[in-house]
Amino acid sequence: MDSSSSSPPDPPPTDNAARTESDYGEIFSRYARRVTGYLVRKGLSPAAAEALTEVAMLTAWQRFTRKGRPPPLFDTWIFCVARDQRAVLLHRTQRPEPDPDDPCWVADDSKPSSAPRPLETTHMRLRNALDSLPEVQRETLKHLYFQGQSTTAIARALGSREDEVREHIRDALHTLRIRSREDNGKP
Amino acid sequence: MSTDHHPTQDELLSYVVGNCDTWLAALLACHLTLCPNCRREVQLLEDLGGALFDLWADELGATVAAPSRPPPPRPPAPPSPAINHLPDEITHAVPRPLHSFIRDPRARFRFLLPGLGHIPLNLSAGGRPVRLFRFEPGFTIEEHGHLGLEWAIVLSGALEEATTGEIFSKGHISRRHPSDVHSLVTSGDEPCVAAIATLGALRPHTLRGKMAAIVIGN
Repeated sequence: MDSSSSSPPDPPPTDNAARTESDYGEIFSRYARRVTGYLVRKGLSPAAAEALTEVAMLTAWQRFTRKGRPPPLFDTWIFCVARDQRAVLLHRTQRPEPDPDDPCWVADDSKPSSAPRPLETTHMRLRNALDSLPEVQRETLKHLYFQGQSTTAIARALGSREDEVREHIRDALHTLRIRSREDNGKP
Repeated sequence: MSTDHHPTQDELLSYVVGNCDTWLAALLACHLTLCPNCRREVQLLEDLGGALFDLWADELGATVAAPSRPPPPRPPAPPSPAINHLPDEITHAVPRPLHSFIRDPRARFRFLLPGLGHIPLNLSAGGRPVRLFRFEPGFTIEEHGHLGLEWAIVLSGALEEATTGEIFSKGHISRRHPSDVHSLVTSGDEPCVAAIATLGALRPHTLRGKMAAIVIGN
């Protein structure tokens, strides 16, 4: 891991200037290498991953300019774009998504337990929580997200039992769920 | 809502990382339309994907040269005509993630048996078609077993397990494995619409059920 990956990412540009060529270059240089790495880990050849990265960055840029503002968590968004582009490459239907304008949509009426937090805080909290996980849990999540492996394949790769892998995932998610809801520095 | 009526952790994870079959992704997206709790869970899993992406994705990164200029903005895509022309009967009972899998834009529930209609979807699970069913009030699904997983989601109305009295209402998921034998009846005064994927043939246990299975084509 290089040093840039351990520091918090700068928020992407948010105003009209973001549409300039230099900002596109900045976004590209910040994310393209990561998207390529992600796709290689998902089993694509480096050449195919690079080609798909360009398509993913193009898609991201077109959505970005259409909306005129970045999504709340840019990393999450890029992750979703790369994942969907890979699905399209593999001739699978793009993942069906729920639509908030659907007449069937059931709104979330639950009241938040505290005032809404800045999204960057949520992101940083998740990053910190990831750092605090035991190594085996982090390794399991890595296999799950980056190599797209099933619990059976992860168990084989890590030399453990399938129920242990499930337990690692469950425990990791439990920790992350709790830590992502905590207030800054306070439980 | 009991936790049994929601997607499993494995199902939600496979949806988030993009590994699940199209039929399951479509039915999970229907559940997410109807279940704010599971939407929050998916949001957390996607945020986690983003955080992991930020931490680890560049470990194996290759060098990709940035193009000299950004691509031009693309105009928004026009909405699919098939989605706009579906009858209200469908659009108000069936969540949008399934609309693109309905072949006929003027689709309606076709008669199968008294009290039972269906719409086949352009989706298959284990080589078998996924279908929308509409059960009229009082309709009974005779006792049956399965030769493969049966994965169903109630989209409107409710179904009741005849033996246990367990109620499956809007958004609830029912999973039945090959060893399970069950019978269902429409609960309440409203018709029930459900999307059902069967990864193996049904094994009806009654003569009426066997005759119905022949008509339904299971």
